Amino acid sequence: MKLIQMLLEFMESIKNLYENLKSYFLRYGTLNVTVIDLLKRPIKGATIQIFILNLTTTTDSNGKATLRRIPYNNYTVKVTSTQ
Amino acid sequence: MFYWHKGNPINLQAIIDPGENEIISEIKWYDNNILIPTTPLLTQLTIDTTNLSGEHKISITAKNSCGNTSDEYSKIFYITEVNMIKEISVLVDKPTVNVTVVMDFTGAINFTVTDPLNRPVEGATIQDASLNMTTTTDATGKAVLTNVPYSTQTIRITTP
Repeated sequence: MKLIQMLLEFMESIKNLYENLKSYFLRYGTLNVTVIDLLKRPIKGATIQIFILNLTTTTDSNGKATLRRIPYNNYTVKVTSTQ
Repeated sequence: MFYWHKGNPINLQAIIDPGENEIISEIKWYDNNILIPTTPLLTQLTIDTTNLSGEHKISITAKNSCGNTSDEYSKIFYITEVNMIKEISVLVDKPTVNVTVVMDFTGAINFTVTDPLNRPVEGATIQDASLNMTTTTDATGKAVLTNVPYSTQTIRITTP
């Protein structure tokens, strides 16, 4: 009986571990950035940087860029553009 | 394409393998397919961008002592005057976060209004209807429109 109890507790801890890992790894977001000028025209080639994650990308001809797998948090995003 | 701030020199270094038992006999640099006059066999090119703007394709070809010409290798630089940096705070707390960043590039337009005898016209109205901006010229015939977004503007000038 005690063996069954231990087995159930072990299975429960495995389940908890799985849930923790799942929530940990699923807590990523995608950041879509659109860069436009005052007349709402897209700006191509703007650089988007999140230094703390060492992520850099540039906007396409529609002024859009996407940064994926961003851990949930608050970030300073630096946008650099020439025109 | 590399976005390049006007005034910053572009330094290029060519590393060329002429092939076994061969030497480089010719190096040619081009700016938008126009030959750049350089000293022979120049491998380090510095381009002064002070008077350049817009898109410039800088390319290079080389020839070895056997007479074989390399493929053209090029990089495109977009030279501009304005470099704007904005820092925004973004909270990623859901699977998809969308943000829009407005880069408010603006400039000023200076006007001088004169009559056919080249005398300044005071009180002329300068109007940009699309931006809802209006100003009038002073006693020297001058007026300025500021904070004009980068674009082609249609301006109406009305003299008194």
